[in-house]
Amino acid sequence: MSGKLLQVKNLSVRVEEKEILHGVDLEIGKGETHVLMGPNGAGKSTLGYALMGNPGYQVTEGQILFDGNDLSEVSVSDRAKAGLFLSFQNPLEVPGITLSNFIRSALEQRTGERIRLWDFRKELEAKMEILQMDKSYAKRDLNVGFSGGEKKKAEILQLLMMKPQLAILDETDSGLDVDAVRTVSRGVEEYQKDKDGSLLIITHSTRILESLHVDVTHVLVNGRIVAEGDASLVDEINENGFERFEQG
Amino acid sequence: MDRDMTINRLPAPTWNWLHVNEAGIKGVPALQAGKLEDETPEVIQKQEVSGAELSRIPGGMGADMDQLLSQNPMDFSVWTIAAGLKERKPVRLHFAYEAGAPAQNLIGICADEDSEITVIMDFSGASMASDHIKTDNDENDCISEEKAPVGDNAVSDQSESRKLHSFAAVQTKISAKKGAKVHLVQIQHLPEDFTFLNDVGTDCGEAASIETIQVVLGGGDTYMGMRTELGAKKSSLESRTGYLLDNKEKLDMNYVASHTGEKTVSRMDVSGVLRGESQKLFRGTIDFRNGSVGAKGDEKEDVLLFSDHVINRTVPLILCEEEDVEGNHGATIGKLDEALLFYLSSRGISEEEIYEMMARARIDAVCNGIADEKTQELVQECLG
Repeated sequence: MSGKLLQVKNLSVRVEEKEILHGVDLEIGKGETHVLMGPNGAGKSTLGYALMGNPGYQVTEGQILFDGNDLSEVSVSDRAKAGLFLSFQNPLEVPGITLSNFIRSALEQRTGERIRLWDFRKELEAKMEILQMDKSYAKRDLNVGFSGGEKKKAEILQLLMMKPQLAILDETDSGLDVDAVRTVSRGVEEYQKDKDGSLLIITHSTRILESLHVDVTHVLVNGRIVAEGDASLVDEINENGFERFEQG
Repeated sequence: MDRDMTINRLPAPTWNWLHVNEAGIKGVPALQAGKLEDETPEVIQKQEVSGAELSRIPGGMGADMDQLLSQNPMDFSVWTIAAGLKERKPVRLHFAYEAGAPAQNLIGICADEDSEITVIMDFSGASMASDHIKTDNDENDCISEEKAPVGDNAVSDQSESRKLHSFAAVQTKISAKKGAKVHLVQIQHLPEDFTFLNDVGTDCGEAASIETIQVVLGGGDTYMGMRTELGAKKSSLESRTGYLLDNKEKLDMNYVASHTGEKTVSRMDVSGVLRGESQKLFRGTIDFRNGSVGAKGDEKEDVLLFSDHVINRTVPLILCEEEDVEGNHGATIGKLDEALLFYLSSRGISEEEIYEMMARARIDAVCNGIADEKTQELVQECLG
């Protein structure tokens, strides 16, 4: 069994006045792929934001350990530097900063070293090819005027370039057509192959999982993990939905 | 003899209590000719001329600026490109001002028919040691702005006075004949103890186009004026301005695009960042006058506020004497929102660096239009 990379212990999270997560436990090992499924409003994205340290999401109880270190006092940027990555469901538009400059700046911030432009460009273009992204997107302002699909690809491009230890993909497949899901999925495969990275895939559909090997599936309902299983649980949910978990 | 000035008057005044109608400067000293080094491509002619014709082109600051500069009679330094010539190499003008030597420069740019010229100006200065800058109340030896009432947000600040050791004024007059293209780039990176007046006046012939890029990266109190006479058919102006203000720096702008010709086009983009206790006032006027049938004018502003103590003021003005014209104004003013901060932080970028990036982004967006590597490098060097 691989060593534990992420340990979430009895985590409760409040957003403004409302508690969304109630005592969530979750463990992800190095190189493992976990899927977090659940109906709308179950708290899936809340868990992703809380793991990343969004200041709007207050941890009221419990602990998040990453690579053995307690993250409770660690800033968002330091969590990213430590190897956590969150792919956003709705990536924000950032006028004035090109996709290329943004990724390069982020990489330089993480390593504290200048990156040679030539090497960077070469790698960036190779990753863009995997994602079937037109190279012109590198020079465009980050996510500005990108279609929904291109925004998601830009997120996966960042994932591939930043090579985190654990990537949390928050509804990365939502709003994408079949071809775009396949392309994004290929990018995610590449990430795992390249880095032996761990994945927490938050989704309520199963399309993105078709070409990925799933180790553990968690079902989140009303802020609680109500079921866990292997990849077959994905198939069951695909067939029967969440009804039996919601009733429980 | 010291003089008081009123500059940057709004073409159509608004309520006085808003303190945006004009900028007042008191105790401005007599000026000497400022140092100027140039690099001029061979095909461009450089000469010193009395500049009677150029003087007739109005600047954006108004009559007081003209009078100030006429106190010390000096010729215009004029760069002329002959008809039909298109020179890609820029004329480079380096202005190096010194503390203790109030200075002025008069610049002319003449582009004959169907010619193209690029002029890049770089305003730098040597700072005076801080112990030489006193803030006493000696009216004869200090410069102060007209005061705004306490609690008012005007750029003026009565409480401050400063020595006149570091004062410079530049006036640039541009004459672009039929079909000519003039690119003017101005990079200002003066020390914080400077007061700097930068005035531009332009006259456009038929289908002539003026493109200006102005970047303010340093200076104490900066006043900028620009007036473009779009008097001939299809003449156009594209003006982009970027600024980074910090500490107690002030920037007061008055830009006027005066449309009298048919199908004339103007666009003014102003983008910047206010930090510390800095203050900015932008007056942007698109004036559609009789005869400007089919003219279009557009002004856009984007201001990022990095501190609760900054003062940002904007006065967009669209004046109209013609029916068949199109004028637009848009402004985006605010702080970085929490969602954006979280998104950028989640990629490992610290909050401090995010603010730096966003500030740089605004300047980079303005400077992207500068087709000169050396100037781009200068800007990056100034940004640190």
